[in-house]
Amino acid sequence: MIAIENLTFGYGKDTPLLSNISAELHEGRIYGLLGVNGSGKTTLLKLMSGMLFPGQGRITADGLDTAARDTATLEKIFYMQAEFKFGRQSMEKFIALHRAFYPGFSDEILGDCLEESGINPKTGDLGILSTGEKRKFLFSIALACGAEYLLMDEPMNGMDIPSRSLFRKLLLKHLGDDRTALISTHIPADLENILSDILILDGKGGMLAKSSEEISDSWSFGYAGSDEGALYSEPCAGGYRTIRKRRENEAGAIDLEMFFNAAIKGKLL
Amino acid sequence: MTDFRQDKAIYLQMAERICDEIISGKYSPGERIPSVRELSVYLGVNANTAVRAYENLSLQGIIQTRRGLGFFVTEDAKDRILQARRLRFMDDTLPELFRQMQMLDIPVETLAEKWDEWKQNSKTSNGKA
Repeated sequence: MIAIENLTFGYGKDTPLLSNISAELHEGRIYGLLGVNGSGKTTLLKLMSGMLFPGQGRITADGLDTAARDTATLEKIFYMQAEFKFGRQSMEKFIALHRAFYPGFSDEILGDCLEESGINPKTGDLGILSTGEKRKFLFSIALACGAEYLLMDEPMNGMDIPSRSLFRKLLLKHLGDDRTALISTHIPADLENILSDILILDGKGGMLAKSSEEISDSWSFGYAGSDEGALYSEPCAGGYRTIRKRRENEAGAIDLEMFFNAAIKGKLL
Repeated sequence: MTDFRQDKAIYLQMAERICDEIISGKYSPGERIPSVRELSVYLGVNANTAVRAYENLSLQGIIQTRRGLGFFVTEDAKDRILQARRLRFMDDTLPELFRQMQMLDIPVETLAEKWDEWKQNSKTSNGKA
């Protein structure tokens, strides 16, 4: 488990970017990290991976501070950054480096991911790959490395439409019950059905954390001819997209985009 | 607010999908259905959601688990599905139909005529096919 306990962090003396946030990330679950631009998504991922240090509070992976950067902790975490450069190096060398660092590295999973992604494992220079291919390659390494905690910062950026569904398929196939994924995104519809939990940075330093079950138990998402009685609504061609307190007997599907918009406007109370 | 419409929760959609496949004969009584992981990957849906779908079907007696072997269609799954769907028709579909009939001032006799007409038509089209 990764535990974020009363974390506060800011750059410089300004108002903290993250203010007293807490959450737990459990095994076998897939977390979506949402937030408007500049709300601290990348900062939070860097704090979790031990690249930045908390101002106050702490983040632990299986009880150990990630900020301590022990090898035993680092080999449990794979952080896929949103921006990265490979420089001039061969794929084989890059793979060998990761195989050496991560004890649970699986060549079988890597082979499956690269084959499904249509990436040649003999690529001599990683620099020639396109943006989408680079991300698919790094995502394959993430799944294959065996790290318990996969932290991915907008991993689907630059991926074409078929690759987006392949991303979901490979993640569900290879993540397993004993690992945890945290994925930041600006396009919730990409991940809607694969997420078990949602984390929303509200842009004012706070974070809302809810499981999909809690969301569908508490709120109903749907369409109506009027916005009367809705906690939050947006006009659409046929009337209104609305969120209301759940009254229906049967659970409904979650509209993550609406949930996000309502959350950052403080309309879910 | 009476016109509020929502899509069914994903786990319920998945359960309905399995039910459709049992009705259509894709899965026979006693046959194994896909594992949670297989279904989750195939449909691109979180494994926890697939677990919820299978729990729902187990509670309804439509599937049963055999330890270490997986999930299997029960002997009377088809009857149970049809019975549950009849109940839902009576509880949800009919009241909605009646509400519309009242609002649009359509007498029940018209419905009976349309019903006879529809049966006649489906008989002839079945005969041709």
